[in-house]
Amino acid sequence: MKRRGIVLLAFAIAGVNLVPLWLVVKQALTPERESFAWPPTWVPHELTLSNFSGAAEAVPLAQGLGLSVGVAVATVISTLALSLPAAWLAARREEVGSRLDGVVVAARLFPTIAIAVPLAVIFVGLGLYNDSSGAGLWLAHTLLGVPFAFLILRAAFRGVPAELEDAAQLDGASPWMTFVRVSLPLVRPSLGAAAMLVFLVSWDEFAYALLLQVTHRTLPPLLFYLSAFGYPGLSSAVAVLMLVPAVVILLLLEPALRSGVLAGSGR
Amino acid sequence: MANARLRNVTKRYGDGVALDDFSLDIEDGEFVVVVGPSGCGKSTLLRLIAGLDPLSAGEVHIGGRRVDELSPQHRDVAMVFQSYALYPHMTVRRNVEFPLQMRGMSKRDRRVRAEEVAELLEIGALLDRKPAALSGGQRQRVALARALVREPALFLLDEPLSNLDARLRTNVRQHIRDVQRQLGVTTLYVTHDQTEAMTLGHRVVVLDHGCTQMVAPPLDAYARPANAFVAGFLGAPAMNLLPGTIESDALVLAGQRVELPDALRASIVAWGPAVTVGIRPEAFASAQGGGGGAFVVHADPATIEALGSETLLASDTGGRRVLIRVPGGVAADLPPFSAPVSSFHFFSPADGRRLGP
Amino acid sequence: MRAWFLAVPLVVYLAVFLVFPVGEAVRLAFTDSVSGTFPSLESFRTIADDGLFWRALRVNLALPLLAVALELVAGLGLALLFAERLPARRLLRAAVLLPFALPEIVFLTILRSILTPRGYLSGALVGLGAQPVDLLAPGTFASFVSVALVDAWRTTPLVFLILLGALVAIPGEIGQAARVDGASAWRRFWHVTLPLLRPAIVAAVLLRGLDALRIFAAPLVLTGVEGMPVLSTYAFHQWSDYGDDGAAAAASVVLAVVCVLASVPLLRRRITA
Repeated sequence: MKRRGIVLLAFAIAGVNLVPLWLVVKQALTPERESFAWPPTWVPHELTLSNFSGAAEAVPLAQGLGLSVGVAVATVISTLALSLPAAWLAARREEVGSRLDGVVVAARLFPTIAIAVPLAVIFVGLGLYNDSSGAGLWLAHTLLGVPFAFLILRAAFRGVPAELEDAAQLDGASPWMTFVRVSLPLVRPSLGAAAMLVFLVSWDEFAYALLLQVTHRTLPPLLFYLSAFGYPGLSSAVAVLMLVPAVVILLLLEPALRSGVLAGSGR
Repeated sequence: MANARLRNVTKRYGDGVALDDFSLDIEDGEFVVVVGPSGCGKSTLLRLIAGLDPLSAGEVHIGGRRVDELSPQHRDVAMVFQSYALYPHMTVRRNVEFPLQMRGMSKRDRRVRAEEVAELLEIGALLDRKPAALSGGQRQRVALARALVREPALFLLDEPLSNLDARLRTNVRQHIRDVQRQLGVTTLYVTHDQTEAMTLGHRVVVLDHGCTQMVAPPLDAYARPANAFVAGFLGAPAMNLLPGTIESDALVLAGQRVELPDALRASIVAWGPAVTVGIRPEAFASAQGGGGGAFVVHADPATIEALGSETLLASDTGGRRVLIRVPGGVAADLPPFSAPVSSFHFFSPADGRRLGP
Repeated sequence: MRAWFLAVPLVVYLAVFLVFPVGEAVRLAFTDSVSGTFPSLESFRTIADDGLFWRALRVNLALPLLAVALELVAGLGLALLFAERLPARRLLRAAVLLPFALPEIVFLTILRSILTPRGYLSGALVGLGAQPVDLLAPGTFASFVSVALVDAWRTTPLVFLILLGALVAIPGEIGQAARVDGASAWRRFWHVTLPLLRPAIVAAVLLRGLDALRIFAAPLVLTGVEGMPVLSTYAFHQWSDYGDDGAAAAASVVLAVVCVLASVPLLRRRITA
């Protein structure tokens, strides 16, 4: 009796959690007027793809999509390039590791707005504000990605015994070859997880995107303005676009999440 | 193949000394075993020779070439790690070929050479497996193969048998000795196990607290230990070390007066009055008649450990525990056991140094 | 040896994009936006004279308390639920993690259309014969609770994951031993499970509390800049609506100081651990 109650409760919670997702998809695929109906409808009466074209007419959607993808990919590359060597060093030298740790945690905990406002002012001076290629946003997003990548990769490198690297050097490998042939292949699962996570961090990011770009916007601010100006159907269409990579990546990350690769990354 | 010369090799950490002024010449093709308790500096020694840690002072020469300034990959040294350190993401074949690949050997030559070594170490059937699919003994052989495949000038082994179970250990021990003799590769082998120290090498180096205690062929080290530490460390069960006092014509040992035979008296008396006396457990035999010139003990029947081939006993004599080891069994009435003065080792109580020849 | 150069790119990057902007924020905050004089307290005077700033500060301090309390209760409940044997466990788990898996902005915009007066929630209430409700009305306690609840809903999965990890790490024998000793389920939870979860709970509270202090998107999307202001949205408002760099920087600096003070316990824990 008690057990049945527990199972029912679990399914009820799961059901409630599905409601937002269901409504986004419903609004995206039904005509705008259905989203304005009173009382609101929970199931679609008419299916349409017109919201996608509608959103593309209302805002520079293609440009936003391109910027979102471009900034996210660039952020993954720069974040990993900065984090990989530092994470290896931190894993091998505890005294360096604890210091880098403090700096990286500070980057993770510092309020975004307190960096975004001065950064916007600095970028205005440098011509990076509202950059058409999203360069300024890319540089800012790297700051958000670094803590995740650094902590995941450091944990991964800690899992590679230093003796393997010693052995490779004695086998005649240079430090670079040791890294490429031995250390790096052994952290590949974590590297993949870190890359996907950083992609998502950039893809979902809203505050910097809102402050650093005005006419060349990525998807989250476009979605925000569509929603704020009262276009539930159009904004939901953009939301569905945003959902696709998020869901794909989270499905791919699920095993890593369970095996604890992301432990301590705070996401 | 080459000789190796270590000159005043020293390693300091902060204000501690891990290895102090260590010097040793290893002949071409020689097998030297370094033995000592954990923390004696023996693993540090290997890491210094391999170049994994920098020296604080001293020189390392391998094959007439000074290498202590070179990085590990240029020293032509191979090493088998205690953990084996096999690359988990590579097959056995790629593990064994890795050192050859890093030296730019062609794919075909690599393959031939790896298979030769695999043959020698009887791992030919395992070449396409990953290390995770191997037993401890198999991993051990793969580690040996990877180290030997490129015929290093110097071959280092860091406690390679410590992760194997006792039965396997005997087999692998013999195998390592055979392979070393067959290839004639200059070898330095580190262990804390005195059986390995006694059986494997041409010479043994006993190390304690970073200082060399003795360098000698193993049987010499057993027969005439250079100091009380070596005496206590080599041999199992360990040598009994008892405080003694020399009087005019006798030795007082654990409250017992032991007459000194005429032939030895003069020299022994000169070392007195206080000495440390070492008696190996196997120096004892059933006492016949209990004549002079021997140390006599009465074993406690409760301590009998009958192993079939031999029997271990202990005796509390004059407040000291004395270990006894005799071949075969012991008679039910448990006779007294005696060890003759001629089997005694004498050490200085002040610094542990061996007294006499 | 010479390996420290591997950390140089990261350290340089962080110096340019973390340390330098923070310094710039302080400089801006103490610069008079009109005359350009430095140092000046003019920007702080501007925000101190603004009622919205004080509302933002109060909400910014109160909101994390409510949100973290809600998350903790919900996360602990979910973790205990998932420690039981459940059918379709992976599927249920995925559903529980879903709010956090959705991009924040997606979750918030849809929650807005649920909570708005003509939204799905009001519609459902009317369908049940009740009155429609406005849970996002500017400045009301209801909208304060709504913002906290929505933020808690989205981030509960994190707390859930931390606590579930700690819960499954408790050896089963401990619970069995307590059962053998005759402890009731409630006493087992209170005297055995909860003390063992304490480190994980403290970690979750610190982590989530510091995140909640920086809250930005939830109040902005749900209530706009004036409905339920916090320091982040207030700074954004000063910057984007009035173009006042100094006031925006001053509000940011106030928030940063709050965050730094709040993170002292976390840093102390890291040092002792």
